[in-house]
Amino acid sequence: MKKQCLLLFLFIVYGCFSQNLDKLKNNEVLFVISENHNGDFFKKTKVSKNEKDTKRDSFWYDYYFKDGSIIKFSYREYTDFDKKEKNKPALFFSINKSFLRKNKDIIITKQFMHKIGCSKSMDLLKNAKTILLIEENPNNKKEVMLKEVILFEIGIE
Amino acid sequence: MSFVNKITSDNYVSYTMRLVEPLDASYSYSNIVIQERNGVEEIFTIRYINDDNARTNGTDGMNMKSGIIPYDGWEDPDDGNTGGGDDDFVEICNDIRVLTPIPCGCGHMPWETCKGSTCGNPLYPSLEIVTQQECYLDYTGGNGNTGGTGNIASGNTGGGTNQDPTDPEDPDIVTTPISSVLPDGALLTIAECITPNQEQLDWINEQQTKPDGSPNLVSIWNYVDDLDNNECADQLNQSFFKQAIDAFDSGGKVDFENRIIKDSTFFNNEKVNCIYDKLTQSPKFKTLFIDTFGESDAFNVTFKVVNNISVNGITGSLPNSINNINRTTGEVNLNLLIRLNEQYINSSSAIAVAKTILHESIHAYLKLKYIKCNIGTPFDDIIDDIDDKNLEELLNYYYDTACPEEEQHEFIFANMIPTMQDILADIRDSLIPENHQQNAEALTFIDETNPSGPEINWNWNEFYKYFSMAGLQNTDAFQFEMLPVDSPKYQNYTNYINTGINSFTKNCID
Repeated sequence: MKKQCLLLFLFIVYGCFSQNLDKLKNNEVLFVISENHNGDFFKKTKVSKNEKDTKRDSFWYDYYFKDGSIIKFSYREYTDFDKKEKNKPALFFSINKSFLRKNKDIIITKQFMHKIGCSKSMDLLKNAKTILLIEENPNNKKEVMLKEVILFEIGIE
Repeated sequence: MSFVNKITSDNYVSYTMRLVEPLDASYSYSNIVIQERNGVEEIFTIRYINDDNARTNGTDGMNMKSGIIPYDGWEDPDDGNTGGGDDDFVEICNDIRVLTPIPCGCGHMPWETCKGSTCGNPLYPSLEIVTQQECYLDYTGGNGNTGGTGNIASGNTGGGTNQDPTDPEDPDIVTTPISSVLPDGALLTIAECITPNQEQLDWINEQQTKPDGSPNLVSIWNYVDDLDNNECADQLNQSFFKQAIDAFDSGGKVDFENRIIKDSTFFNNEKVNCIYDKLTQSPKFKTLFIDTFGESDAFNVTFKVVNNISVNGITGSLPNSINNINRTTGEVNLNLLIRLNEQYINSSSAIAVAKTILHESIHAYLKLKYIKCNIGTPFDDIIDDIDDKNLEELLNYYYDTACPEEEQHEFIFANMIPTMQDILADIRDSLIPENHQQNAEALTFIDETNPSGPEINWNWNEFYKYFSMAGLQNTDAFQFEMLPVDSPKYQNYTNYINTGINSFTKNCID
């Protein structure tokens, strides 16, 4: 039993940290996986309801670090008002769950961010043109939802 | 602003001056010649054509050969002679003035330290105007003129003259090329005031022939012309002029009146330059920043856009600059450098970039006030109930009690948010389109007085207040006032700021 736990632990660690930072640095599109539950260094907070489509409600996705720093992503139906005027909503689509398995080496997890730290994670994320957040599709367990989010940063001045 | 060269002889007088051609990017230039010859008035333009390629290759300098295109004008309406097509001889007395450094006997140049030559004369290095003069006749009636470009006169020379137009002994026009828009002696005065290094000297010499009349050199001249010897010798002035020339040389812009330099990285960044100009339209910003740094020649600010900082913006001393207070005279020298992050400028809304410039400008203002409180715009012009004396006490308090990196931020958080709110309100309409304002006004926020109650509408004053706090999040005051992160205040703060930075337009339209 102990041996099984050790193997499982190694598998989890390997699985979590298998991303290659150098490879990710060159990606214009980054995928970040959302946690299923609040707590344990992650929090999802609803900002406002979307009257037309509840799936498009606005949210904050916060990733906390042990030193107290936070990486925040914002999801809104439109990433900015120019896009709202042009009716170009933020990317939002569902995809088969196998996407997670096939692309695990390019999906950024909370564990990976903890491993490289908040500062390097921010640098990596700021470099991307598009960030897609992956979360469960409550209506279809075989699928996951991908949402275009914005990295939120209140810089130092 | 051009000076006029007068040439006289028997029955002849001509006046020559530079034409300023702002849209001409070449190194060729034009003069206008007004002459009276045997009682007949005429006006001509003459273009001195320089081989720009040769100049670029460094094979030709100021000593240009000229093609000449005289055009007639001002024909006496009474003489009826509007077009004879006569060919002209023009006598050109080429008078090129070049600022030349003369080393001391030991070889020290004017921009180097020389305590007096021990190697022979001259004792000290100096700058001299070397004039190269050469007169020649330029025949404009055919292809073989001495200017080498074979221009043909477009019309007659006015009429009524008795001279033989083909006689080189009797030229129709006598002129001297005026390549500089500055008066005689100006170059030497500038050089003696600034004591430029070789690169700066090259820049000054090069400016003389620029067809646009070198407004940059003219602006330096206008300023230098008003200075007395002591002011010229002032190290800070010299430092500022050298920074100004370096900024001009790299394509930047200098506001001499207000002693503000826009480095080329700033001036050539269309977005940030446009945003800064909008910001200067705010009366309160003008009072706080422009008037403060325009008050004295001793306070200078340089703006720069960089890509090697991890913060949105930062204000510090200009490298190798003088920043001190003379304890005897009480005079203050301050040379500040405001650096703005290029990535942040590109990725953020125009109003967010304006807020960052404002934030850094407040740092610049407070740096000056901390050195000496009664200089710069009086603080009670900014905030009614705090005069400069109170400000001095307050700043000392914050500098004694706050963490060194957050001293000014603590002060700003406690005292200057209302000022920032006012300035942001002034510039809102010039940086946020009306439809974006309407989109923002449709957003709702937590009612901080009744968090479990219904949400309340967007409030511009709240937006300005929270937006002004961006950058102050590491202060004790902020953390005491705004945290924890799940408090209604902090949630409203992040939501307002998210809209402010990411939702409003990134563009600035002139």
